[in-house]
Amino acid sequence: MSAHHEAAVLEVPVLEVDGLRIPLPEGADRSHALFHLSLTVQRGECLCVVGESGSGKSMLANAVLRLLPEQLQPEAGTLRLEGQDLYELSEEGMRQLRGRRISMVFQEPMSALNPLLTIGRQIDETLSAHGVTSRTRRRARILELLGYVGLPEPERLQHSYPFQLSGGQRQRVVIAMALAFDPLLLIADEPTSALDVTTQAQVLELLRRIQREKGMALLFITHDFAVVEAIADRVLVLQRGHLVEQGTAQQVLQAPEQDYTKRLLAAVSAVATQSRQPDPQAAVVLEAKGLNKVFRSSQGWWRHRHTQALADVTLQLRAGETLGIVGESGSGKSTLGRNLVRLMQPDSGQIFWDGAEVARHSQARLRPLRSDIQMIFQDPFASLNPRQRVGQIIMTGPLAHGVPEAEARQRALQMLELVGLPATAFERYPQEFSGGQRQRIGIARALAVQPKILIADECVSALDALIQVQILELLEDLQRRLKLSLIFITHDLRVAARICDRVAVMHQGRIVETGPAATLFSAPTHPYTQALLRALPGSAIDLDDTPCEADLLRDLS
Amino acid sequence: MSRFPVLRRFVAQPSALSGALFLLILTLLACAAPWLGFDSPWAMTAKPLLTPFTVSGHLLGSDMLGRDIGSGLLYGARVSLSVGALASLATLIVGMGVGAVAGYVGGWLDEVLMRIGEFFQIIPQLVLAVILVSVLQPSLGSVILAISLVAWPPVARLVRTEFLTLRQREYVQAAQVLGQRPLAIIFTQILPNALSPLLVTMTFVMATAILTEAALAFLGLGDPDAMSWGYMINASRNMLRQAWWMSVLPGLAILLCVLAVNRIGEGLRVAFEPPRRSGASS
Repeated sequence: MSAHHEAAVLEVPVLEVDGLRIPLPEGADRSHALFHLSLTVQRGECLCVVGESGSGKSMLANAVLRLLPEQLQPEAGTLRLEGQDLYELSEEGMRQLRGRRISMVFQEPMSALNPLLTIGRQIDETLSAHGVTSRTRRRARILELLGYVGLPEPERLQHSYPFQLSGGQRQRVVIAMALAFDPLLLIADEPTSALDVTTQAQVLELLRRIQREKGMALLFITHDFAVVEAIADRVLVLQRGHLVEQGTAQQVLQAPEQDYTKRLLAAVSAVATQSRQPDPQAAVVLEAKGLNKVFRSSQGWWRHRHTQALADVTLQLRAGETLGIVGESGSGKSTLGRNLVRLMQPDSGQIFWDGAEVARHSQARLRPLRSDIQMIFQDPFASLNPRQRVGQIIMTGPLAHGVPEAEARQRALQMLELVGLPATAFERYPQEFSGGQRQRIGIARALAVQPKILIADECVSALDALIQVQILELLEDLQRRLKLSLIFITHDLRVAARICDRVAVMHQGRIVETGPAATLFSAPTHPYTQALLRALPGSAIDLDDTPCEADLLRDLS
Repeated sequence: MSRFPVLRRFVAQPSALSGALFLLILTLLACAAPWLGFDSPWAMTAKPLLTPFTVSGHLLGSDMLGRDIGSGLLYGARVSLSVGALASLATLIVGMGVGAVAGYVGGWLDEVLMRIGEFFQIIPQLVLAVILVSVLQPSLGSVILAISLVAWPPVARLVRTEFLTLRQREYVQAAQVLGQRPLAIIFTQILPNALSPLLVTMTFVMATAILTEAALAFLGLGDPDAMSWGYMINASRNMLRQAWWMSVLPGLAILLCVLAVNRIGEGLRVAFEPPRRSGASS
């Protein structure tokens, strides 16, 4: 037991889970959602529960709040809050507890807030639901809470609706609601997964400050080891409902004992950029010159809002190299990808595919050229037609380019082998595959037309860390073997550092900095790149320098 | 896992299954009527105003001219079912064509097509159908034309919305990047995924078509050469007190037929819904 733990061991732990077992219904992929799980969280401590999707980590949060669905109830074990068995309380007693002594912060702030009520009203409801009858007291508390979570101008902000706030601000509101009664235990279920790196850093910093000042216990659920590094006192690793490893953050992160933890850690650690020297003399296969794209959205009848999604974007991709395009959501990186494959038409500027200018081509004129440049999409569940068999999906491209049926079939089977799927996949439907396998099918589909250029748009962001690594390795391998040129669009700097030769950083529709990955990540020149790198959780968050970093970001946006 | 999960889920619903069976049997009987010993429904073969279940050979009674009611019902089913089927087919073709073009192409063409559709929607459907049939002369063709002309806009709107959402799916964009032609994209990528809501709507269109046909025939606007349920009710409306069966039996036929089609639609809707996953962990 660690030194930190020994000091607290005399106290009754805030949360004590002992031998918790939750069975899954017949036909599920395993017998128990959680199997014989024991843990404690002390006052003022942050316990991070880490696991991949399906590991049962959210189930744990719901079990503590007693919000499990009917058919999933614990069959053994106890859950105690300050010694009080939660499963002995009446439903009403439990309701009193929720929101008052235990609160929860959810992953997606937009779905945790009612879109039709102002945020002030929503906090007000929480307060009055738990018996704060005095109106003036409620009002004062609302302003106090909003100010406390670092929202600007609480007076004005309390009258805003959720859609008027940014993602980070919404998450702050949700946190403010959770803090309404200074709970003993705060459960945060992936609270930063839907946020950009810079916003994520700010929210993590806020949670740490709250925990330090209020001394509450924090049960933090995440899949991301970088976040763990930033916030955890102790770590608990879950795999398929079983506890793999538990210990202080330092123990688990520096010297993991279990193989599974080691693999997870290896998957997220930014591998030093391989210094592959791309040939500067290689032919330019894809080029964009001065691309502009403006989106018009109407607000009311006469007012239009113009969003400059691309502003004078110029880039070059040479044969055989991997160019990363990184940026936060809304920076225009996906729009750029879509313009480059001509799913969209730029307002002005030129696009050259293999030297031929195509920015003004009609779709019909583009069609014969399309086999040269292909795209891998973000969402492995939305990018495959659910009504087609995998074979048909992969054969679509070759057939569209006039390859005879038998040859297309042959090619599809080759592609399956190339991306590491069994030939039997040919006759099956995409629904029968996991996320990683589906992404392989997407890659096979793109490669079936034998392209020279691949544009991968956030193609690993929907996958678990271990699967991410497999897909990245596959892409690297394919690139070497097939001499592909790759544009890799991502919000994840670690992924970019791992796979890219050169990186272009996008901010508000502009490319603010381009350079070889190694130099760009070790010595960034543009302040935005520097801020992005510093916001990476686990790498540089330091209590002393965070305020100035927050200032820097505010100046930039 | 069964190979036809949708079919299995459909058959598992008693109301949908009995609706389908009812319609199947009615269709078979209507087709086979001449060979089952039913004469022409216009032939005066019995004494007038026979009460049902009194005379064998005319089990469902006769009307005031001595025409067999049972024969009228079966020959009437031919008209109702064929109008229902053909009108919904015509509606489907028009609605799908317009909706697909509007949803896929978009822009001003979408605007124009939708405004035309609204033009048909703002006029009460039955009134428009009555006007169309009387202008075109009553016949099977004009009845089908009138029904499909008033019924296509909702179908077009449904297809358009489906296309608008499905167009944005990544697999449709992938097909575009792969170089598939627009027509191929529509038929292989979009339509198969829009099929289930479309099929369900078509059953409701068919039910409405059967009702509209009956209403037109009741108003004397049906095909004058074909016996139909609407015509039978119209002919018997003065005899309601003396011979209730003359209007009740065709009325019941319309009711059961529309109900059966409706149940099939509802059954399809339930069957197409993906089965609920039992609480998976995350």
